[in-house]
Amino acid sequence: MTDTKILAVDDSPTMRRIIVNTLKRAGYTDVIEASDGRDALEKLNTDRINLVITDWNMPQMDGLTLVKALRSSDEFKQLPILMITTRSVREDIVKALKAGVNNYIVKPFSPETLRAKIQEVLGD
Amino acid sequence: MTEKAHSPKTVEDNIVELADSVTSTLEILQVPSPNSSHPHLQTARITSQLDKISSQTEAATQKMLDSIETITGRGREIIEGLKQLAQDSTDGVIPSLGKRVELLIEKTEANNDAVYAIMDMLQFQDIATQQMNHAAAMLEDIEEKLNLIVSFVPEVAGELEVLNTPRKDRSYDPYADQGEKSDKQRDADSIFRKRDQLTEEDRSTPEADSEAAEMQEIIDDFIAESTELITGLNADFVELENSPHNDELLNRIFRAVHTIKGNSSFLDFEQITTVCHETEDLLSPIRKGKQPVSTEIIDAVLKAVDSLQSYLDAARRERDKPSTPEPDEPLVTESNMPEKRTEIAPEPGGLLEAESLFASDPTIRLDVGRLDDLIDLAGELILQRNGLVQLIGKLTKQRDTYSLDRVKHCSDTIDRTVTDLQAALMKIRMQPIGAMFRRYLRLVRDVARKTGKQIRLDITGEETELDKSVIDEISNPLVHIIRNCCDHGIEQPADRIVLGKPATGQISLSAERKGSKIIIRIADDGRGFDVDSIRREALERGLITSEQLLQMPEQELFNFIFKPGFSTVPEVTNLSGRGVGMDVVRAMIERLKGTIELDSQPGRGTAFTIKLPLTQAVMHGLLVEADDDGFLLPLTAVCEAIRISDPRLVEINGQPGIRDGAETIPVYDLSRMLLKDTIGDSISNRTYIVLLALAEKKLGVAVDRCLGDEEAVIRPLGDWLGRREGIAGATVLSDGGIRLVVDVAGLFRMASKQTLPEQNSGDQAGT
Repeated sequence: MTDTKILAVDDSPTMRRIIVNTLKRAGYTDVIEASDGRDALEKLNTDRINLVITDWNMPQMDGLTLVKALRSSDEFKQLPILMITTRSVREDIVKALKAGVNNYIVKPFSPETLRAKIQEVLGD
Repeated sequence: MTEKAHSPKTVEDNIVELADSVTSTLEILQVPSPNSSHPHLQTARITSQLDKISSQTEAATQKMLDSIETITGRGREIIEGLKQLAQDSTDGVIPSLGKRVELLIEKTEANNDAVYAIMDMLQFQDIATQQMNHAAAMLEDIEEKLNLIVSFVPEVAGELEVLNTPRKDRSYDPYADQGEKSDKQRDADSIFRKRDQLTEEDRSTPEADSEAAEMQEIIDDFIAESTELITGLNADFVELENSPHNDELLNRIFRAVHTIKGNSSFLDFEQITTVCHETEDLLSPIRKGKQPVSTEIIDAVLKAVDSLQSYLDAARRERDKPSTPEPDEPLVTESNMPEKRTEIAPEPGGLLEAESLFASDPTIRLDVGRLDDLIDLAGELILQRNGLVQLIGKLTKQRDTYSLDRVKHCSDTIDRTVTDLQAALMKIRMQPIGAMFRRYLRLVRDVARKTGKQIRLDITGEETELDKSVIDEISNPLVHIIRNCCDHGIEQPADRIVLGKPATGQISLSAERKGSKIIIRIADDGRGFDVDSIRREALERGLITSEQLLQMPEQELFNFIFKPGFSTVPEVTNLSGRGVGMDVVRAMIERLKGTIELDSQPGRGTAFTIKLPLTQAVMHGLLVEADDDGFLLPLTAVCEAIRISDPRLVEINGQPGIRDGAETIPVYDLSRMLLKDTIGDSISNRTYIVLLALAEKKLGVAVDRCLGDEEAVIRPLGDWLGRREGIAGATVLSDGGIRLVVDVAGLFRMASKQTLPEQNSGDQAGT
């Protein structure tokens, strides 16, 4: 569990810090950050990542596009992805599931939810 | 872990700064800036304020996170230290310390948890920041669109203010991102806001706070209300004569008279008060059952109502004198009031209460001119929207998907807004036709009294709504037709009895909506038109040859009624036949893009059917081209378009035509007919024939191309072009080009002029 490396993708530095802090409290100390989908793809190429936590709405490349890009590559086809977004409309959630996210968290989230979903996704 | 110490001053500064910019933004949002006449400048200011708050909020949040990390970091250090201490104490240094240190560790951990709970809550702050960014982005969108519209139509830049005053009560779903959903909300909001503005703006005139203006408003209200009540009284008295024992009706009359009396005495209109008082005196024996309703009493009270009307007219003239003199409008009926304002109001009732003048009712009263301006603006927007649609077509060809998406989004929004705006505006213009219909009750009674006839007017479809301008325009033709029915249609009571008809003649007036048309029918059960005298008159006037006459179906004979100066009644009475003929009636109706038909059966009666389009402002048309000239054919008249190679196309005596069952529909060359005044040329070089219909007549026009349908706002042609028959006006299309709008009724007249004197080729050739 402690050797899990997580990539947190969000364009808001505030949200990234909140996520990183919450993860650290839950015991996930190895966290790197990316500010949008493009940044995330670069980090994924240089680091070995076990879990991606991504926002939806971001400049340059949004979360949904990132998910689709990862799912269409052989390397990241199986990579666990968790989406955290303010979008709560039914159609949006369906869209994200179809794109291939493993789970979906609506902002604002509680630390317990985040922890539970991570465990669910990683199968711990 | 950040160990940077924060001086309390910087945090304080931060908070003060934030509070300041929140306050200033709220001010901008709440108070329309007086010097900003351009809404897009306004949005720019709000956007920059939103950006400011958003970045300051974010800075503040970051500082809070700094502090949270500092506190929780220190907490962990404390816990570590305490754990060490507990370890030491178990080694026996201070034996009782163990338990107390454990307690301190627990409390420090709880402290950290509490601080992290603050961090969880900071998510809301972040979401709020994002929402502000979205709001700012949306405002920029709006600004962009406004700029786009303004760039298309520079002359509306100033007027846009009317449509876009500052947006208040903007509530965004905190969990909704920038997408379809909030767009929809925004559109709906903006329309509702605009509707509210219209009402508010109208109620609060700039001078409203000055006392004189307030008094003027009260007098205006009084005149408007009394005019309406008098219209009602005219109808009610006529009804009372027919049903003298209707207590409810009598009470309504009393209430109306009493309301006028009370209001007029309150406003010192002495003469009006006196007349009302006398009217009440006349009516009270009837109410007490001491006297029956007699024709004489009704005559007297109607006379009183007339004098009330003239006093009110005087008051109105008095009111208008300093500002604008009232133009002399032709007074056709006794009750035809020169209305200058649109009124959409329910029946006012009840006794006088000063408050009732100010009471908020769900109606608005506004200058028709202002409404027309708005409708014109909506019309302009339609043109711009069409322009955008064309642009999208071009961009699609160029495959510029980025610009395309932006323009498409923009165009979709404008599209929805414009459509809603137009519909909302049109609805404001709609009024029930009933008020006008009821005025004719009095008219019919007066004519009946003067001619010694007995006539009853039956009204149906009062609730049918019609454009205010159409109601105003249609009144005179209707008066003329109803007079004709009374005067020439309905027979004397003795004659009717001899003919086996009831002594009282009946005229029925009805209105109904059918699709996009309003149908008004006026029918009497009188003598009907004498077909033989029409034939005689037509021959005498040389309108037709005797051979043609023999072939002509009876139905078509009635069309002569609408010829200038045509009359089958030898003696001119003082009621109708005042030089205004049915030709003028038809011209007036055609000006409203309507049609009139006549059906008559000798001895049984006559029925006039008037068909009017619902609205005058926007027309749907088929765009056609011939010789590089573009024309717009009103879609309401277009039946079908066929190719020139169609086997139905035939030629009779050199005149092309289309077989339609037993008939042959004549075909003309549109361009030559309208622009070169020639008819009967060959059409073989054209590609299409468009079939047009007016009432029961049909004709075809040959053109080069059919380009599709367009929504058009018709503009009159400048005087320098002169009035050309067959052309209703011009319109500016989405590509900026100008097209002539074809006047279908005129086209048919031109065609009949050409065909009748010669061999009457066209429609009769095939029979």
